Amino acid sequence: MPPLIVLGIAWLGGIAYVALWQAPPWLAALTILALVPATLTGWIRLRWWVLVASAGLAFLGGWQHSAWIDSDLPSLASHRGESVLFDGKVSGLPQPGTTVSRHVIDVDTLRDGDDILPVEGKVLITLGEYAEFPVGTRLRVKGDLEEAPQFPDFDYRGYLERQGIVGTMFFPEVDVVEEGGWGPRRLVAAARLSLEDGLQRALPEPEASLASGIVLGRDGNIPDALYERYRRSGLAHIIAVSGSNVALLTGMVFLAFVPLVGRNVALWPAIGVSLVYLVVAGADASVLRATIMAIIFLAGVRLGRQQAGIAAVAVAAFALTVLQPERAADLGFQLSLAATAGLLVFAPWIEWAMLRALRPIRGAVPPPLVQVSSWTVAATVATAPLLWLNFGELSIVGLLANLLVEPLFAVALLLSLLTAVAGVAWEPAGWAIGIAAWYPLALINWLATTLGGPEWASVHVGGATGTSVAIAYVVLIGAGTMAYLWPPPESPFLPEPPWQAGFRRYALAAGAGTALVALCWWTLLPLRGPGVLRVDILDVGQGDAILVTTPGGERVLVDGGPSGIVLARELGATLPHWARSIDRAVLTHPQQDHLAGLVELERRFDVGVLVSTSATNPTETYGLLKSEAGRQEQLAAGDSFRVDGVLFTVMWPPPNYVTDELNNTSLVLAVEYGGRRILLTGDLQGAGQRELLETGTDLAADVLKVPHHGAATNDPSFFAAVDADVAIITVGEGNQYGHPRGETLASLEGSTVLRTDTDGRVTIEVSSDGGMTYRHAR
Amino acid sequence: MAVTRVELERVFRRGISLTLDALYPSRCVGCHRHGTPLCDTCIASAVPASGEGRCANCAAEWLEPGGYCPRCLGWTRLDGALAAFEHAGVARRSVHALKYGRQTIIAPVMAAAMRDRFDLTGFDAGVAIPLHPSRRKRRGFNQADRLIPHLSLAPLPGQLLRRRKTRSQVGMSLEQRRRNVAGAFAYEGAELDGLRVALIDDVITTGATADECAAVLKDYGAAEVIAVAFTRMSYRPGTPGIED
Repeated sequence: MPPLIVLGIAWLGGIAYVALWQAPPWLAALTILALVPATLTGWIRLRWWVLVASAGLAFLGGWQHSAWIDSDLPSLASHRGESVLFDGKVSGLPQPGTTVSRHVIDVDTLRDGDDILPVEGKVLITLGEYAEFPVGTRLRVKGDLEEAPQFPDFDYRGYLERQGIVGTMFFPEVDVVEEGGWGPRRLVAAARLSLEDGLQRALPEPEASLASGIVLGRDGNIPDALYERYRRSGLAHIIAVSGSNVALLTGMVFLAFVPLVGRNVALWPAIGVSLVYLVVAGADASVLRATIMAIIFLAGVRLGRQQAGIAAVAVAAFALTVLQPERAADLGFQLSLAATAGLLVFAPWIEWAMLRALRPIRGAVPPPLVQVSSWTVAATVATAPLLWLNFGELSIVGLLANLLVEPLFAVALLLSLLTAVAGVAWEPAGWAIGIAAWYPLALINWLATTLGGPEWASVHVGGATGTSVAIAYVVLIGAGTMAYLWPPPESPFLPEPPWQAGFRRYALAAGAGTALVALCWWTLLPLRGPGVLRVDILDVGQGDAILVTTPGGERVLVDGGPSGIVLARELGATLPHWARSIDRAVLTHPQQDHLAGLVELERRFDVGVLVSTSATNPTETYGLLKSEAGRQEQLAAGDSFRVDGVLFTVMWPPPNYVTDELNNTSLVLAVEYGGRRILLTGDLQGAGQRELLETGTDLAADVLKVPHHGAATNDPSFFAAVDADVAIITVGEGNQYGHPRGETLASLEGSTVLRTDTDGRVTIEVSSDGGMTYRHAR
Repeated sequence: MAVTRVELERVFRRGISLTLDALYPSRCVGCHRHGTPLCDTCIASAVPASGEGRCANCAAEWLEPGGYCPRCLGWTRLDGALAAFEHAGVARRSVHALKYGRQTIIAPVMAAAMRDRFDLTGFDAGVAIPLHPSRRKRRGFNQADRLIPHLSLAPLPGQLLRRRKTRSQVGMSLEQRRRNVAGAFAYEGAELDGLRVALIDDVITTGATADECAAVLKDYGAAEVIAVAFTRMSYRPGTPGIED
């Protein structure tokens, strides 16, 4: 057994003794030393000095780890529970939430009146969705420093503390003290953000978030429900950047360059790309590990050495934990280590067994698929105890899901990466590649959703303790040692007759080609528009966002709802996947629950023109929208525009209308097609409604978007004048205002009432002959 | 006590090689034992390509006792072949580890096994069968080039070159190979008057390539050209496609 592997196991074992049983560091060393007589008698075939060195290393590993455990929290922690004013630097990219963003601030100075106190520690602050401070910006922050919450099944506080984050703050006052210069960290952060931006402009949600998770490790925008499905189907590792990304990428670059410049030179671009990717992907522990291994591997090719791989794993594991002891406690690092080691030692035997089992139908299964499957099985087995310990759950469908997804993943990674890079370089190219990238991404999402759906997809298995998992790994290491020392015999596969290979290849290619063409045709079909007028009242929570699609496929969006990411998800669910433009965006009135999503819309989509009234609002989000929007138009009552045979008439407000109540400046829009009329009313309240009635405008409509989320401010006479067959209330589940109010619901009697909180997204379709149908998502 | 630079350098080299051995532990291609890319026990177990039951001219296995060996009948310019082992089992794995696995570290061990099995002192010069530059670049090295430095042979007073790109000969019969390599080689340099030349390669399959090289070398005056390889493949004559 090569010494490095033994040393690596000893180092990790030393850490495990301390981490699992709080044992003194010398105990692991003593355990190893007890084996020395066995080497002298030849019972264990190792040099005695390897064991002595291992014992030393186990001691050092344990000692370092216990020193890290015993180290004090940074000094800022003593101010938890206080209202504080501090200065610090933004230390990373913001983590997105639905209507918030979270920033990590590396605090260095605490201010108490005129007293200035140097402190250490990081704070996680929660700000509005569009708060953006480049990495390195110096901020002065004032607010309540709170201890992070604990969850029954997740040690959130410990998770943050391992990153040096000692507390959280909700919506503190923030001032920029110093912009900060362009250092390498800011450059890297900017590069990561612009790649993410490239993905978000090219792909719909949730595929853009999946791609961003796969490529950049920025997975904060994946919806919780979808993430849960990923976890239950054993596919959560797909979303995060992992070592397999590095292996795939480096391998592909290397193989692509070999025919061009030869093997000896091709390793340089491969190493270069792996280093660039290390930076771009955020230098995660698992990515670092894989990069170290990739470089050792490529150097081995150059040196003409055998590739054991497992020695490289040992070196990488040691190097990473000796530099940052907290990595040993990082689940991502542990999983990546277990998966890689398991893959290297078990996969050859698993592949051998699979080939043996498949012998009767040999020729039907392509050998590379068997190989990839063996990797999946090996990694699944090797990571199972860790998943069991950390989630108390084992995925039943995990193996199947991974076998199906792993080949797709390679394609998804490559295309997503190309989309991001092309999107930054030249947007149309990013869009074009994005259309191709959507297919594997959407398929992976579909598999995760489908396989993670059933109750039995994942079962709770209790009883995992550090000790039982340690025993599992001792058994695995034992089996792994056997598998490594005695590799399987050469493949029992006989080469198949060439005609069979040829025939199968043609049959496969023809089948796959047909399926692909059918799939593309089917998903691209709405190319010419739906052929009817389609109005989607999107389910964006407490707020408005209404998508009008004309029969020819032109798109008008009325309001954007309270959250950019939620709007993006809803548009992802309603628009064809290749659609990245909105012809007109309408802002009925400049309040957060109608406008916030439009900022994100401007960032992700090409918006032809932004239509609004003359009303303004001095909020940050409104300023952001006005500055980021391109062409802008102001409309007032009497104006109208026609899009593709659909007439949009503005009924309210009159030109230069002035009022104290922003809601009453709401743009009221009648959408007419095929003799039907749909009335969109923003948040127009009773006073406004009565004023509108007084103008004598004919308000009769077939469908009414009920004003102001069904608040009590509605005037029954307005409903009477509209006399709609269908009334739709846009309202968030469990909203704090008690919308929709009972009195409003009562005065809507006689209409079919649909609510986005209970019915989900509502879709109305009007054909040219006036036929009207509606359906809802829930 | 003064430490000389030579000693320092030796310590340094030893350190590097120990580090590399630790990082890239060698395992025997035959029995997977650690410490060497090809162990003595496995070499000893390989089928020798000389002695009883082998053709004295081309080292291939006799198909039937007596009569002529059908494999080297067609060699018109090559004067014979020496090979250490039959191209099978651990010997074949070694050839593959070097050529396809790119484990150049195994080459010295293979060369030592060759030196142990035949006397190369009778040769005036040795030359590796060349790869076409594009193939060499793609693979990163020429496997025969890796063997030759360890065989204690004097270099040719010129260069043997592969002028024409030839297709991979895996799966070709003797006749196909002959056509494939015809006119592919050239020689540049001083005359080879009366020299006995060893043509080094990892494996001799049909001998078509070596025969073609021998033609070029003999044009320049070589007296005798013998192919010297690690393995000899005793293919069945008339086989339509030969593996490797």
